Amino acid sequence: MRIATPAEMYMAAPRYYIGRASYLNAAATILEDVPDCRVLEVGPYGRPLVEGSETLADRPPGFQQTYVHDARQAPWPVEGRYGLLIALQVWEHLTGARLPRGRKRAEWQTVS
Amino acid sequence: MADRILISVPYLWPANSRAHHGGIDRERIALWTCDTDPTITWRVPSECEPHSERILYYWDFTLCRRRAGPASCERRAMMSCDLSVLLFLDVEKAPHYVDWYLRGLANLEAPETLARLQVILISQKPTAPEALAAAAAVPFPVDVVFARESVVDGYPVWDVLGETKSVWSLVRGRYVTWNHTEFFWAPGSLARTLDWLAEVRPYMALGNLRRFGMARTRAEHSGERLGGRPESDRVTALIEAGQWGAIASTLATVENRWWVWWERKQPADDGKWREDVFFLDKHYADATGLLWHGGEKPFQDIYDIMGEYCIRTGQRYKLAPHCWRMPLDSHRQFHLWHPKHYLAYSEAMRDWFASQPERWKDTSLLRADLWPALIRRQEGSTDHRAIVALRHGPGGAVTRYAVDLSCWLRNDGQAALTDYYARWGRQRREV
Repeated sequence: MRIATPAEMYMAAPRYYIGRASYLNAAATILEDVPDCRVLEVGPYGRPLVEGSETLADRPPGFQQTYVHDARQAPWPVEGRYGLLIALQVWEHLTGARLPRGRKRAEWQTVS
Repeated sequence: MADRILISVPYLWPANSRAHHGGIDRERIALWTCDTDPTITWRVPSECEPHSERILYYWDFTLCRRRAGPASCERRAMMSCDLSVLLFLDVEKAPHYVDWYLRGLANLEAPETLARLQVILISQKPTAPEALAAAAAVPFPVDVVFARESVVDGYPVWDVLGETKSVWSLVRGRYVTWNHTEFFWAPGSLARTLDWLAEVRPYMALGNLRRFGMARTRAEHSGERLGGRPESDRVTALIEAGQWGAIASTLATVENRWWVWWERKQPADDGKWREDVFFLDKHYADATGLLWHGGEKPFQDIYDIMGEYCIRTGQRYKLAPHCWRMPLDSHRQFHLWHPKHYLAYSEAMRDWFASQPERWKDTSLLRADLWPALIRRQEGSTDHRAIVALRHGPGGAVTRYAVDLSCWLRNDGQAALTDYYARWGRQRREV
Protein backbone atom coordinates (compact mmCIF):
# COMPACT_ATOMS: atom_id res chain seq x y z
CA MET A 1 0.00 0.00 0.00
CA ARG A 2 1.12 3.53 -0.61
CA ILE A 3 1.21 5.76 2.45
CA ALA A 4 1.12 9.52 2.04
CA THR A 5 4.19 11.35 3.29
CA PRO A 6 3.83 14.06 5.95
CA ALA A 7 4.65 16.54 3.21
CA GLU A 8 1.70 15.35 1.12
CA MET A 9 -0.59 15.52 4.14
CA TYR A 10 0.66 19.03 4.80
CA MET A 11 -0.02 20.10 1.24
CA ALA A 12 -3.60 18.84 1.56
CA ALA A 13 -4.34 20.85 4.69
CA PRO A 14 -1.39 23.05 5.69
CA ARG A 15 -2.89 24.68 8.74
CA TYR A 16 -4.08 21.41 10.19
CA TYR A 17 -0.96 19.30 9.58
CA ILE A 18 1.67 21.87 10.45
CA GLY A 19 2.28 20.29 13.88
CA ARG A 20 1.46 16.69 13.18
CA ALA A 21 4.48 15.38 11.31
CA SER A 22 5.86 13.29 14.17
CA TYR A 23 2.92 11.00 14.62
CA LEU A 24 2.30 10.79 10.89
CA ASN A 25 5.90 9.64 10.51
CA ALA A 26 5.40 7.08 13.24
CA ALA A 27 2.16 5.86 11.69
CA ALA A 28 3.81 5.52 8.29
CA THR A 29 6.64 3.53 9.84
CA ILE A 30 4.24 1.17 11.58
CA LEU A 31 2.29 0.62 8.38
CA GLU A 32 5.34 0.18 6.20
CA ASP A 33 5.16 -3.59 6.07
CA VAL A 34 1.40 -3.99 6.09
CA PRO A 35 0.47 -5.79 2.87
CA ASP A 36 -1.96 -4.33 0.36
CA CYS A 37 -5.45 -4.71 1.76
CA ARG A 38 -8.81 -3.03 2.06
CA VAL A 39 -8.45 -0.02 4.37
CA LEU A 40 -11.02 2.04 6.27
CA GLU A 41 -9.99 5.42 7.68
CA VAL A 42 -12.23 7.03 10.26
CA GLY A 43 -12.21 10.82 10.46
CA PRO A 44 -9.30 11.64 8.13
CA TYR A 45 -8.71 15.33 7.53
CA GLY A 46 -7.70 16.81 4.20
CA ARG A 47 -6.84 13.49 2.59
CA PRO A 48 -6.56 9.84 3.60
CA LEU A 49 -3.25 8.54 4.89
CA VAL A 50 -3.36 5.44 2.71
CA GLU A 51 -3.96 5.97 -0.96
CA GLY A 52 -7.18 4.37 -2.16
CA SER A 53 -8.62 3.75 1.29
CA GLU A 54 -12.31 4.04 2.09
CA THR A 55 -13.17 6.84 4.49
CA LEU A 56 -15.85 7.46 7.08
CA ALA A 57 -16.54 10.88 8.59
CA ASP A 58 -19.54 12.88 9.71
CA ARG A 59 -18.71 15.89 7.55
CA PRO A 60 -16.75 15.91 4.33
CA PRO A 61 -13.58 17.96 5.13
CA GLY A 62 -12.47 18.90 1.67
CA PHE A 63 -12.56 15.59 -0.16
CA GLN A 64 -15.08 12.93 -1.09
CA GLN A 65 -15.87 10.58 1.77
CA THR A 66 -16.88 7.00 1.05
CA TYR A 67 -19.27 7.03 3.99
CA VAL A 68 -20.71 10.22 5.49
CA HIS A 69 -21.63 9.02 8.94
CA ASP A 70 -21.26 10.00 12.59
CA ALA A 71 -18.80 7.45 13.95
CA ARG A 72 -20.45 7.67 17.36
CA GLN A 73 -23.50 5.95 15.97
CA ALA A 74 -23.36 2.18 15.61
CA PRO A 75 -23.61 0.32 13.42
CA TRP A 76 -21.45 1.89 10.79
CA PRO A 77 -22.65 1.67 7.20
CA VAL A 78 -19.74 -0.49 6.11
CA GLU A 79 -19.81 -3.99 4.79
CA GLY A 80 -17.34 -6.80 4.59
CA ARG A 81 -13.94 -7.26 6.13
CA TYR A 82 -11.11 -4.73 6.24
CA GLY A 83 -7.44 -5.49 6.40
CA LEU A 84 -6.76 -2.28 8.31
CA LEU A 85 -8.72 0.33 10.24
CA ILE A 86 -7.05 3.70 10.86
CA ALA A 87 -8.29 6.43 13.20
CA LEU A 88 -5.52 8.87 13.99
CA GLN A 89 -7.30 12.14 14.60
CA VAL A 90 -10.71 11.18 15.90
CA TRP A 91 -10.62 8.75 18.77
CA GLU A 92 -10.60 11.37 21.52
CA HIS A 93 -13.50 13.17 19.88
CA LEU A 94 -15.98 10.30 20.07
CA THR A 95 -17.91 11.84 22.92
CA GLY A 96 -21.06 9.93 23.73
CA ALA A 97 -20.26 7.13 21.37
CA ARG A 98 -22.60 4.19 21.47
CA LEU A 99 -19.92 1.60 21.68
CA PRO A 100 -20.39 -2.14 21.81
CA ARG A 101 -20.47 -3.93 25.11
CA GLY A 102 -18.62 -7.10 25.87
CA ARG A 103 -15.00 -7.98 25.52
CA LYS A 104 -15.19 -10.76 23.00
CA ARG A 105 -13.73 -10.16 19.63
CA ALA A 106 -16.81 -11.62 17.99
CA GLU A 107 -19.01 -8.97 19.58
CA TRP A 108 -16.72 -6.20 18.46
CA GLN A 109 -16.80 -7.57 14.96
CA THR A 110 -20.57 -7.43 14.78
CA VAL A 111 -20.56 -3.69 15.27
CA SER A 112 -18.01 -2.43 12.83
CA MET B 1 -14.31 -5.98 11.17
CA ALA B 2 -10.62 -5.41 10.61
CA ASP B 3 -7.47 -7.50 10.82
CA ARG B 4 -5.40 -4.57 11.98
CA ILE B 5 -6.20 -1.36 13.85
CA LEU B 6 -4.11 1.80 14.15
CA ILE B 7 -5.35 4.61 16.40
CA SER B 8 -3.74 7.49 18.21
CA VAL B 9 -4.84 9.32 21.35
CA PRO B 10 -3.30 12.16 23.35
CA TYR B 11 -1.02 11.02 26.14
CA LEU B 12 -2.37 11.21 29.69
CA TRP B 13 -5.79 11.42 28.23
CA PRO B 14 -8.31 11.97 29.70
CA ALA B 15 -6.49 13.43 32.76
CA ASN B 16 -5.29 16.48 30.88
CA SER B 17 -7.83 16.42 28.12
CA ARG B 18 -9.44 19.43 26.65
CA ALA B 19 -13.19 19.79 26.69
CA HIS B 20 -13.68 18.33 23.25
CA HIS B 21 -11.52 15.29 24.01
CA GLY B 22 -14.07 13.72 26.31
CA GLY B 23 -15.17 10.73 24.37
CA ILE B 24 -12.99 7.77 25.02
CA ASP B 25 -10.93 6.19 27.74
CA ARG B 26 -8.79 3.11 28.16
CA GLU B 27 -11.79 0.95 29.01
CA ARG B 28 -13.56 1.95 25.87
CA ILE B 29 -10.44 1.45 23.81
CA ALA B 30 -10.27 -2.03 25.28
CA LEU B 31 -13.85 -2.70 24.26
CA TRP B 32 -13.02 -1.85 20.70
CA THR B 33 -9.87 -3.86 20.56
CA CYS B 34 -10.82 -7.13 22.20
CA ASP B 35 -8.87 -6.11 25.32
CA THR B 36 -5.65 -7.40 23.87
CA ASP B 37 -2.30 -5.73 24.33
CA PRO B 38 -1.27 -3.67 21.34
CA THR B 39 1.30 -5.14 19.02
CA ILE B 40 3.04 -1.77 18.94
CA THR B 41 2.76 1.14 21.34
CA TRP B 42 4.62 4.23 20.23
CA ARG B 43 4.78 7.51 22.14
CA VAL B 44 5.37 10.47 19.90
CA PRO B 45 6.06 14.08 20.94
CA SER B 46 3.22 16.34 19.93
CA GLU B 47 4.17 19.39 17.95
CA CYS B 48 0.79 20.99 18.52
CA GLU B 49 1.02 21.42 22.26
CA PRO B 50 4.25 21.87 24.20
CA HIS B 51 5.29 19.09 26.58
CA SER B 52 2.52 16.78 25.38
CA GLU B 53 2.56 13.52 23.52
CA ARG B 54 0.36 11.31 21.46
CA ILE B 55 0.38 7.55 21.70
CA LEU B 56 -0.12 5.34 18.70
CA TYR B 57 -1.64 1.95 19.39
CA TYR B 58 -1.40 -0.68 16.69
CA TRP B 59 -2.97 -4.10 16.81
CA ASP B 60 -2.22 -6.78 14.26
CA PHE B 61 -4.67 -9.61 14.86
CA THR B 62 -3.08 -11.66 12.11
CA LEU B 63 0.03 -12.19 14.21
CA CYS B 64 0.14 -15.21 16.45
CA ARG B 65 1.97 -13.37 19.20
CA ARG B 66 0.09 -10.43 20.62
CA ARG B 67 2.04 -8.69 23.29
CA ALA B 68 3.53 -5.31 23.89
CA GLY B 69 7.17 -4.52 24.57
CA PRO B 70 9.36 -7.17 22.95
CA ALA B 71 6.98 -7.51 20.06
CA SER B 72 7.37 -3.82 19.41
CA CYS B 73 11.13 -4.15 19.37
CA GLU B 74 10.96 -7.05 16.96
CA ARG B 75 8.73 -5.16 14.61
CA ARG B 76 10.88 -2.06 14.76
CA ALA B 77 13.94 -4.11 13.96
CA MET B 78 12.23 -5.49 10.88
CA MET B 79 11.81 -1.98 9.60
CA SER B 80 15.44 -1.00 9.89
CA CYS B 81 17.59 0.45 7.14
CA ASP B 82 21.30 1.13 6.71
CA LEU B 83 21.55 4.89 7.23
CA SER B 84 19.38 7.66 8.63
CA VAL B 85 20.27 11.16 7.51
CA LEU B 86 19.16 13.89 9.88
CA LEU B 87 18.90 16.74 7.41
CA PHE B 88 18.75 20.15 9.08
CA LEU B 89 17.13 23.13 7.41
CA ASP B 90 18.15 26.20 9.35
CA VAL B 91 16.68 29.64 9.01
CA GLU B 92 19.66 31.02 7.11
CA LYS B 93 19.41 28.58 4.20
CA ALA B 94 17.02 29.15 1.33
CA PRO B 95 14.49 26.32 0.89
CA HIS B 96 15.88 25.43 -2.54
CA TYR B 97 18.88 23.85 -0.82
CA VAL B 98 16.48 21.10 0.31
CA ASP B 99 15.37 20.63 -3.27
CA TRP B 100 18.99 20.42 -4.47
CA TYR B 101 19.93 17.91 -1.76
CA LEU B 102 16.98 15.59 -2.34
CA ARG B 103 16.89 15.81 -6.14
CA GLY B 104 20.60 15.12 -6.22
CA LEU B 105 20.10 11.89 -4.30
CA ALA B 106 17.10 10.92 -6.40
CA ASN B 107 18.97 11.38 -9.67
CA LEU B 108 22.50 10.37 -8.78
CA GLU B 109 21.88 7.21 -6.77
CA ALA B 110 20.29 3.92 -7.79
CA PRO B 111 16.81 3.07 -6.46
CA GLU B 112 18.16 0.05 -4.58
CA THR B 113 20.61 2.35 -2.79
CA LEU B 114 17.88 4.81 -1.84
CA ALA B 115 15.90 1.90 -0.39
CA ARG B 116 18.68 1.53 2.20
CA LEU B 117 18.31 5.17 3.26
CA GLN B 118 16.03 7.13 5.57
CA VAL B 119 15.94 10.92 5.43
CA ILE B 120 14.49 12.89 8.32
CA LEU B 121 14.21 16.55 7.42
CA ILE B 122 14.28 18.70 10.55
CA SER B 123 13.11 22.22 9.83
CA GLN B 124 14.25 24.92 12.21
CA LYS B 125 11.93 27.21 10.30
CA PRO B 126 8.40 27.24 11.71
CA THR B 127 7.00 26.84 8.21
CA ALA B 128 8.71 25.63 5.08
CA PRO B 129 6.20 24.89 2.32
CA GLU B 130 8.86 24.83 -0.42
CA ALA B 131 10.89 22.30 1.51
CA LEU B 132 7.81 20.17 2.08
CA ALA B 133 7.02 20.28 -1.61
CA ALA B 134 10.60 19.21 -2.36
CA ALA B 135 10.25 16.33 0.08
CA ALA B 136 7.02 15.24 -1.57
CA ALA B 137 8.55 15.32 -5.06
CA VAL B 138 11.28 12.71 -4.66
CA PRO B 139 10.62 8.97 -5.08
CA PHE B 140 11.75 7.97 -1.59
CA PRO B 141 10.18 8.76 1.77
CA VAL B 142 11.34 11.87 3.58
CA ASP B 143 10.12 12.26 7.15
CA VAL B 144 9.53 15.91 7.96
CA VAL B 145 9.67 17.24 11.50
CA PHE B 146 9.39 20.84 12.62
CA ALA B 147 11.66 21.77 15.49
CA ARG B 148 9.81 23.22 18.45
CA GLU B 149 12.16 25.84 19.72
CA SER B 150 11.48 29.27 21.07
CA VAL B 151 11.77 31.98 18.45
CA VAL B 152 13.41 35.23 19.52
CA ASP B 153 13.38 38.22 17.23
CA GLY B 154 12.58 35.94 14.29
CA TYR B 155 15.40 33.52 15.02
CA PRO B 156 14.97 30.10 16.65
CA VAL B 157 17.00 29.15 19.70
CA TRP B 158 18.22 26.11 17.80
CA ASP B 159 19.58 23.08 19.60
CA VAL B 160 20.80 20.32 17.29
CA LEU B 161 21.17 17.75 20.04
CA GLY B 162 17.75 18.61 21.46
CA GLU B 163 16.22 18.24 18.02
CA THR B 164 18.07 14.98 17.51
CA LYS B 165 16.65 13.69 20.77
CA SER B 166 13.13 14.60 19.72
CA VAL B 167 13.33 12.54 16.52
CA TRP B 168 15.44 9.69 17.87
CA SER B 169 12.45 7.34 18.12
CA LEU B 170 11.92 7.76 14.38
CA VAL B 171 15.47 6.80 13.46
CA ARG B 172 15.55 3.39 11.76
CA GLY B 173 19.07 3.38 10.41
CA ARG B 174 21.87 1.31 11.88
CA TYR B 175 24.00 4.39 11.23
CA VAL B 176 23.09 8.04 11.68
CA THR B 177 24.65 11.09 10.07
CA TRP B 178 23.92 14.78 10.46
CA ASN B 179 23.74 16.83 7.26
CA HIS B 180 22.97 20.43 6.51
CA THR B 181 20.94 21.22 3.43
CA GLU B 182 23.95 22.78 1.69
CA PHE B 183 25.66 19.38 1.56
CA PHE B 184 25.51 17.56 -1.76
CA TRP B 185 26.31 13.88 -2.32
CA ALA B 186 28.68 13.11 -5.18
CA PRO B 187 27.28 10.60 -7.71
CA GLY B 188 27.37 7.07 -6.34
CA SER B 189 28.95 8.20 -3.08
CA LEU B 190 25.97 7.12 -1.00
CA ALA B 191 26.19 3.56 -2.31
CA ARG B 192 29.94 3.39 -1.62
CA THR B 193 29.43 4.86 1.85
CA LEU B 194 26.73 2.33 2.75
CA ASP B 195 28.84 -0.54 1.47
CA TRP B 196 31.84 0.63 3.47
CA LEU B 197 29.80 1.00 6.66
CA ALA B 198 28.30 -2.46 6.18
CA GLU B 199 31.72 -3.99 5.69
CA VAL B 200 33.70 -2.22 8.41
CA ARG B 201 30.96 -1.70 11.04
CA PRO B 202 32.72 1.18 12.83
CA TYR B 203 31.42 2.72 16.03
CA MET B 204 31.83 5.99 14.26
CA ALA B 205 33.63 7.18 11.18
CA LEU B 206 34.72 10.50 9.79
CA GLY B 207 33.52 11.33 6.28
CA ASN B 208 34.84 13.71 3.69
CA LEU B 209 33.08 17.03 3.13
CA ARG B 210 34.76 19.01 0.39
CA ARG B 211 34.74 22.73 -0.21
CA PHE B 212 34.95 24.21 -3.67
CA GLY B 213 38.04 26.10 -4.72
CA MET B 214 41.63 25.57 -3.70
CA ALA B 215 43.10 26.52 -0.36
CA ARG B 216 46.39 28.36 -0.35
CA THR B 217 46.95 28.17 3.37
CA ARG B 218 45.86 25.92 6.16
CA ALA B 219 43.69 28.68 7.60
CA GLU B 220 41.53 28.60 4.51
CA HIS B 221 40.41 25.02 4.81
CA SER B 222 36.90 25.86 5.90
CA GLY B 223 36.39 29.50 5.04
CA GLU B 224 33.41 29.96 2.77
CA ARG B 225 34.34 33.61 2.49
CA LEU B 226 37.63 32.72 0.86
CA GLY B 227 36.39 31.50 -2.46
CA GLY B 228 34.71 28.60 -4.08
CA ARG B 229 31.56 30.42 -5.02
CA PRO B 230 32.09 30.35 -8.83
CA GLU B 231 32.67 26.59 -8.75
CA SER B 232 29.69 26.07 -6.47
CA ASP B 233 27.51 28.24 -8.72
CA ARG B 234 28.51 26.13 -11.73
CA VAL B 235 27.31 23.01 -9.93
CA THR B 236 24.07 24.48 -8.64
CA ALA B 237 23.23 25.81 -12.12
CA LEU B 238 23.55 22.26 -13.43
CA ILE B 239 21.35 20.97 -10.59
CA GLU B 240 18.72 23.57 -11.43
CA ALA B 241 18.86 22.51 -15.08
CA GLY B 242 18.69 18.82 -14.19
CA GLN B 243 21.88 18.07 -16.12
CA TRP B 244 22.89 15.13 -13.96
CA GLY B 245 25.46 13.70 -16.34
CA ALA B 246 27.23 17.04 -16.51
CA ILE B 247 27.21 17.27 -12.72
CA ALA B 248 29.10 14.00 -12.45
CA SER B 249 31.82 15.15 -14.84
CA THR B 250 31.97 18.61 -13.28
CA LEU B 251 32.37 17.30 -9.74
CA ALA B 252 35.13 15.03 -10.96
CA THR B 253 37.16 17.92 -12.34
CA VAL B 254 36.17 21.05 -10.44
CA GLU B 255 38.68 22.51 -8.00
CA ASN B 256 37.86 21.42 -4.47
CA ARG B 257 39.59 20.82 -1.21
CA TRP B 258 39.24 18.63 1.81
CA TRP B 259 40.31 19.37 5.34
CA VAL B 260 43.99 20.12 5.45
CA TRP B 261 44.21 17.48 8.14
CA TRP B 262 43.67 14.80 5.55
CA GLU B 263 46.77 15.83 3.66
CA ARG B 264 49.06 14.70 6.42
CA LYS B 265 50.38 11.20 6.37
CA GLN B 266 48.61 9.68 9.32
CA PRO B 267 47.09 6.33 10.11
CA ALA B 268 43.44 6.03 9.24
CA ASP B 269 42.41 5.56 12.84
CA ASP B 270 44.38 8.16 14.74
CA GLY B 271 41.27 9.55 16.41
CA LYS B 272 41.80 13.13 15.31
CA TRP B 273 38.45 14.80 14.93
CA ARG B 274 38.58 17.19 11.99
CA GLU B 275 35.55 16.69 9.82
CA ASP B 276 32.05 18.10 9.45
CA VAL B 277 30.47 14.80 8.46
CA PHE B 278 30.57 11.70 10.57
CA PHE B 279 28.65 8.48 10.88
CA LEU B 280 27.57 7.10 14.23
CA ASP B 281 26.44 3.57 15.02
CA LYS B 282 22.99 3.95 16.59
CA HIS B 283 23.45 0.73 18.53
CA TYR B 284 26.54 2.18 20.16
CA ALA B 285 24.87 5.54 20.75
CA ASP B 286 21.86 3.90 22.39
CA ALA B 287 23.99 1.68 24.59
CA THR B 288 26.14 4.52 25.83
CA GLY B 289 23.72 7.45 25.80
CA LEU B 290 26.59 9.48 24.45
CA LEU B 291 24.44 12.14 22.80
CA TRP B 292 22.43 13.11 25.82
CA HIS B 293 24.90 14.45 28.34
CA GLY B 294 25.09 18.04 29.50
CA GLY B 295 21.57 19.44 29.23
CA GLU B 296 20.38 22.01 26.74
CA LYS B 297 22.91 23.22 24.17
CA PRO B 298 21.57 26.12 22.14
CA PHE B 299 23.76 27.32 19.25
CA GLN B 300 26.04 24.31 19.57
CA ASP B 301 27.00 22.20 16.57
CA ILE B 302 27.21 18.50 17.19
CA TYR B 303 30.74 18.15 15.79
CA ASP B 304 32.37 19.80 18.78
CA ILE B 305 30.46 17.53 21.10
CA MET B 306 31.50 14.36 19.31
CA GLY B 307 35.08 15.54 19.14
CA GLU B 308 35.01 16.08 22.87
CA TYR B 309 33.65 12.61 23.40
CA CYS B 310 36.09 10.91 21.08
CA ILE B 311 39.26 12.77 21.83
CA ARG B 312 39.47 14.45 25.15
CA THR B 313 37.15 13.03 27.75
CA GLY B 314 36.87 9.59 26.20
CA GLN B 315 40.61 9.21 25.79
CA ARG B 316 41.22 10.41 29.31
CA TYR B 317 39.29 7.40 30.53
CA LYS B 318 40.80 5.20 27.81
CA LEU B 319 37.29 4.49 26.61
CA ALA B 320 37.15 6.55 23.45
CA PRO B 321 35.69 4.49 20.64
CA HIS B 322 37.83 3.43 17.77
CA CYS B 323 37.11 6.05 15.10
CA TRP B 324 37.77 5.32 11.48
CA ARG B 325 38.47 7.75 8.69
CA MET B 326 36.47 6.74 5.71
CA PRO B 327 38.59 6.34 2.56
CA LEU B 328 38.49 9.48 0.46
CA ASP B 329 36.96 7.72 -2.52
CA SER B 330 34.17 6.13 -0.45
CA HIS B 331 32.40 9.10 1.05
CA ARG B 332 32.34 12.34 -0.94
CA GLN B 333 29.99 15.19 -0.20
CA PHE B 334 30.39 18.73 -1.44
CA HIS B 335 29.63 21.86 0.52
CA LEU B 336 27.62 24.23 -1.65
CA TRP B 337 28.34 27.89 -1.19
CA HIS B 338 25.89 29.87 0.90
CA PRO B 339 25.91 33.27 2.55
CA LYS B 340 26.87 32.95 6.18
CA HIS B 341 25.36 35.13 8.86
CA TYR B 342 25.21 34.92 12.59
CA LEU B 343 21.76 36.34 13.05
CA ALA B 344 21.12 34.47 16.26
CA TYR B 345 23.35 36.72 18.28
CA SER B 346 21.19 39.77 18.78
CA GLU B 347 20.46 42.02 21.71
CA ALA B 348 16.97 40.51 21.88
CA MET B 349 18.51 37.05 22.16
CA ARG B 350 20.86 38.20 24.91
CA ASP B 351 17.90 39.63 26.80
CA TRP B 352 15.90 36.43 26.28
CA PHE B 353 18.57 34.36 28.01
CA ALA B 354 18.99 36.97 30.72
CA SER B 355 15.28 36.88 31.45
CA GLN B 356 15.53 33.19 32.43
CA PRO B 357 18.42 33.13 34.92
CA GLU B 358 17.36 29.90 36.58
CA ARG B 359 17.15 27.95 33.34
CA TRP B 360 20.51 29.14 32.05
CA LYS B 361 22.43 29.53 35.27
CA ASP B 362 26.04 28.34 35.15
CA THR B 363 26.05 28.56 31.36
CA SER B 364 28.10 30.86 29.19
CA LEU B 365 24.87 32.15 27.68
CA LEU B 366 24.55 34.51 30.64
CA ARG B 367 28.09 35.86 30.33
CA ALA B 368 27.64 39.57 29.73
CA ASP B 369 31.27 39.94 28.63
CA LEU B 370 30.75 37.68 25.59
CA TRP B 371 27.65 39.20 24.12
CA PRO B 372 29.13 42.45 22.73
CA ALA B 373 31.55 40.41 20.59
CA LEU B 374 28.80 37.98 19.62
CA ILE B 375 26.55 40.81 18.53
CA ARG B 376 29.39 42.27 16.50
CA ARG B 377 29.47 38.97 14.59
CA GLN B 378 25.91 39.58 13.56
CA GLU B 379 27.14 42.85 12.16
CA GLY B 380 29.89 41.18 10.12
CA SER B 381 32.80 40.78 12.50
CA THR B 382 35.07 37.82 11.75
CA ASP B 383 36.33 37.47 15.29
CA HIS B 384 35.75 33.83 16.24
CA ARG B 385 37.01 34.08 19.78
CA ALA B 386 33.64 34.86 21.31
CA ILE B 387 32.09 31.80 19.66
CA VAL B 388 34.93 29.62 20.92
CA ALA B 389 34.50 31.03 24.41
CA LEU B 390 30.73 30.60 24.27
CA ARG B 391 31.09 26.93 23.41
CA HIS B 392 34.36 25.81 25.00
CA GLY B 393 34.85 28.28 27.84
CA PRO B 394 33.49 28.04 31.38
CA GLY B 395 29.81 27.17 31.21
CA GLY B 396 29.99 26.52 27.48
CA ALA B 397 28.00 23.71 25.96
CA VAL B 398 31.07 21.61 25.20
CA THR B 399 32.43 22.20 28.69
CA ARG B 400 29.15 21.25 30.31
CA TYR B 401 29.00 18.15 28.14
CA ALA B 402 32.52 17.15 29.18
CA VAL B 403 31.79 17.67 32.87
CA ASP B 404 28.57 15.66 32.71
CA LEU B 405 30.23 12.94 30.66
CA SER B 406 33.09 12.72 33.15
CA CYS B 407 30.66 12.41 36.04
CA TRP B 408 28.85 9.65 34.22
CA LEU B 409 32.06 7.82 33.43
CA ARG B 410 33.20 8.05 37.04
CA ASN B 411 29.95 6.52 38.21
CA ASP B 412 28.06 4.06 36.02
CA GLY B 413 29.46 4.93 32.64
CA GLN B 414 32.88 3.38 32.86
CA ALA B 415 31.42 -0.01 33.73
CA ALA B 416 28.71 0.35 31.10
CA LEU B 417 31.17 1.20 28.36
CA THR B 418 33.60 -1.51 29.40
CA ASP B 419 30.76 -4.00 29.34
CA TYR B 420 29.65 -2.76 25.94
CA TYR B 421 33.11 -3.14 24.42
CA ALA B 422 33.41 -6.60 25.95
CA ARG B 423 30.11 -7.73 24.48
CA TRP B 424 30.03 -5.84 21.23
CA GLY B 425 33.64 -4.87 20.61
CA ARG B 426 34.78 -4.88 17.03
CA GLN B 427 38.17 -5.83 15.77
CA ARG B 428 40.23 -3.09 14.22
CA ARG B 429 40.55 -3.73 10.56
CA GLU B 430 42.81 -2.18 8.03
CA VAL B 431 40.77 -0.44 5.39
